[in-house]
Amino acid sequence: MRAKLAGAYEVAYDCCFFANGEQTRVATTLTIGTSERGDAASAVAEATRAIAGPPRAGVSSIARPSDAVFAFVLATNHYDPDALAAEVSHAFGDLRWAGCSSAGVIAGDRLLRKGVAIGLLRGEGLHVGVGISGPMHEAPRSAGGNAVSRALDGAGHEAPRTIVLFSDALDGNVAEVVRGASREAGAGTLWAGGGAGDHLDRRRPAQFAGGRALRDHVVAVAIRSPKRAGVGVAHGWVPVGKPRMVTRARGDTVEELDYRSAFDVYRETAAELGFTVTAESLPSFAMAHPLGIPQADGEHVIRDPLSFDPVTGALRCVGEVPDGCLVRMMSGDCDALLSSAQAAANCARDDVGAQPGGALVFDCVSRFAMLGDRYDDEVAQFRRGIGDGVPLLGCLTFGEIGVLGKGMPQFHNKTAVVLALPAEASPA
Amino acid sequence: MTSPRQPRDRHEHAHEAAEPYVMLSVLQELTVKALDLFDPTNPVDDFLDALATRIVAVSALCIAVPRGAPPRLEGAAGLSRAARALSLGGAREPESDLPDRPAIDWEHLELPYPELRDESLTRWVFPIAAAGEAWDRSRPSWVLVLFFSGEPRLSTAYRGLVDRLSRYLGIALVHRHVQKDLVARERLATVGEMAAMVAHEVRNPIATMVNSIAALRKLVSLEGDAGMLVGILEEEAARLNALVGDFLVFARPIRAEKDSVQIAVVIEQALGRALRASGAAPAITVERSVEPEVAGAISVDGQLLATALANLFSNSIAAMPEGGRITVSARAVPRGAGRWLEIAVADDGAGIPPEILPRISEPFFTTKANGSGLGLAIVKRIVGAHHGEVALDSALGRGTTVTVRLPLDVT
Repeated sequence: MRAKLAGAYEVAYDCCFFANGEQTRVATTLTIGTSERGDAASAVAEATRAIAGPPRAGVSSIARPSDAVFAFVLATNHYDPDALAAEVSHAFGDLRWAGCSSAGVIAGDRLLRKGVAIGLLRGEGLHVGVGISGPMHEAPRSAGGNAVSRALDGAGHEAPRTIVLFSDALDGNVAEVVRGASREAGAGTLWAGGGAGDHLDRRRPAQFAGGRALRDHVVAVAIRSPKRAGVGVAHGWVPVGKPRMVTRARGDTVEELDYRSAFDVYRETAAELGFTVTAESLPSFAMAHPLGIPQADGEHVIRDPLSFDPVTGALRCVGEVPDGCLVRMMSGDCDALLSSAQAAANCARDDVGAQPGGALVFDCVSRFAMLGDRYDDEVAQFRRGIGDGVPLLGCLTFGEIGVLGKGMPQFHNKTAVVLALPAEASPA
Repeated sequence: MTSPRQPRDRHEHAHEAAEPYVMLSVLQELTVKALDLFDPTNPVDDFLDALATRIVAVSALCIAVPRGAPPRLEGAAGLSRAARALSLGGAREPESDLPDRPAIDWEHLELPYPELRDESLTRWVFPIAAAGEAWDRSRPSWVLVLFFSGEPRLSTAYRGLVDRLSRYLGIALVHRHVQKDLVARERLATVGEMAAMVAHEVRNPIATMVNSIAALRKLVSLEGDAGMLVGILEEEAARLNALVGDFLVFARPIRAEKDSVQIAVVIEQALGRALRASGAAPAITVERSVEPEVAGAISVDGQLLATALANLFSNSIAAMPEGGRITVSARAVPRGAGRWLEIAVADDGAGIPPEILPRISEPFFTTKANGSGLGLAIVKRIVGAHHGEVALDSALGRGTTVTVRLPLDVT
């Protein structure tokens, strides 16, 4: 059942269907409400009305469904995060919620460049826990571990479990956050999430949890569901340059490639491919030509060169680059990105093995920057991959968290991560 | 637009098609990182994190010591704290096309931790032999365990890469442990030198004090306050002597020299020592229980074990100033493929307050006015020299039970 309300977009999926002669009931749903109102109070009011109706007389919080277990709240950077958090807390009462601010939020079939999207998670057998830890830049590994530990304490440690991470990505080492998180959650965990922030926007990103807006923190949401969720991670970039060895790196800065200035080698590699790169043109060229770290299984983990030091030629990337690893210049066009968006959503859906009850998308803000006007096509590809009628909620992130292929979770750039939530089928 | 390639499809074959330069480069990168393991202050976990993300499509991995008592993990990546307690029972060796490699006896690769229960994970085990040992895959010093989600399909080149890395890990881990031993020995040597100096410098004056006090008693009739003061001198000199003695025992290297002894005899020796040391102790009853399986000759260092048990009995006596009951029991318990000797010493004293419990075996920590604070620390060192373990259970009003476990048969 799907209804469009004035001023808001509601996707509610809760129905009975027949399979193999038995009537089954989809128990897990993600009900999404959105608003593009300019102020936090109005936006939250409109979005929450769409998912739960107006508050009852004399009661300040929303009349939420009895099986509502959690809410994801994603908002663009335009809102005052503290004001927004206060409004949401007031509206939800004791319902736990978490999320982040970002450059754009995805709800249904479109991207909101200015708006709030709230996804209400409902379902039998769902257990959700939230963990917060910080300051992240001081001790990113323990921030990741502590946040996940607290989240798992709330949701329970049994499998199957999914961890969604929201992390401040501007100042801290998110790769270390992921390491700490994975040490705590261990094997058999599904991972999704991303960094809050946008290097083009000078506003400090916020992470939401505990009823408030946080900065420089890690928020972990642990979801334990009756059936295993599905995650798809894809980016669409292919290697074009010859392999170069990172002969000196410090954290997110590549100082040397093949024992020479990193920028010089990057520029030479571009020249071999017929491109001329200058100090001024690096940002725009690197947008479509990131670095890729080859993995033993043939995949490449992407690193986005953001800037370079004109004195040393060191390249600063979004995320750490291991000293001694190989890197290759990558290339991609809009079609490749769009194709990967559908692939990621397909993967997530295939993992669930049935129509999902909802999906969360973490899509890199740099993909939005590259696609420009075609970004609606990216959302359409997510829709095509996840399936019609599946509630879709997401945001633009500054770096993404997930498992590329099989293995351990890592911090990625310029990548799309799709988490599909299982819709448990149980006899009615 | 062409239909999208499913990332999963690529993974089924990508590791087969991974370019050789990538494999070589990754091997080189990780071999260099393995050198960091030479330094014992660099955590093994950090190296394994790098290994897990750079080289293998694993969900988790660890380096485990399959032999020894107790078996343990050297480090892990991707394993939660709970799942670091793992059992290797049921793991299997990857198919190997390398010749003349005898199979590992997996039944005995049992770690005393709860089993990792996620049945969707497959375990593959690569032996890591110490450098210098003859290559014997049936008795590896360490094992590298890889956990895969589902059934892994890995190429021969991939397996060969991990196998080769395991060789380098063997070199690094041996060097790491040699470094640790060297540092420990240097520290012990320093402490030992200091202990010898202390013993020489302090014991002689103490002996002089004790002799002088004895002579004083013979020369002068000491009554009233004088007698009381001399009595205090005697007690304090004896206390100093005992403290220096405890320190010497604690500080010198302890090596268990096993011999064939009867545990009942050792227990009686220890009890006698503790009761004599306690002076005019109030009524203490002792209940003894030695199971038939350990009643005969067993292989332990009898003198050291008697010292350890004497310390435990002394603690129990001190915990019951008005008298009470000590229960000592000895039995054999199965552990892995062998047996362990378990000796429990229980008292019905006041028990240890919970806020003190974590510190109770710290050297020099004591709540007793006349204690050295080294008793339990000495017990731990003696048990450690036997590669055993000590457990303490205590609660206010419930008394205290200390359980010592020593391996009897080591495979």
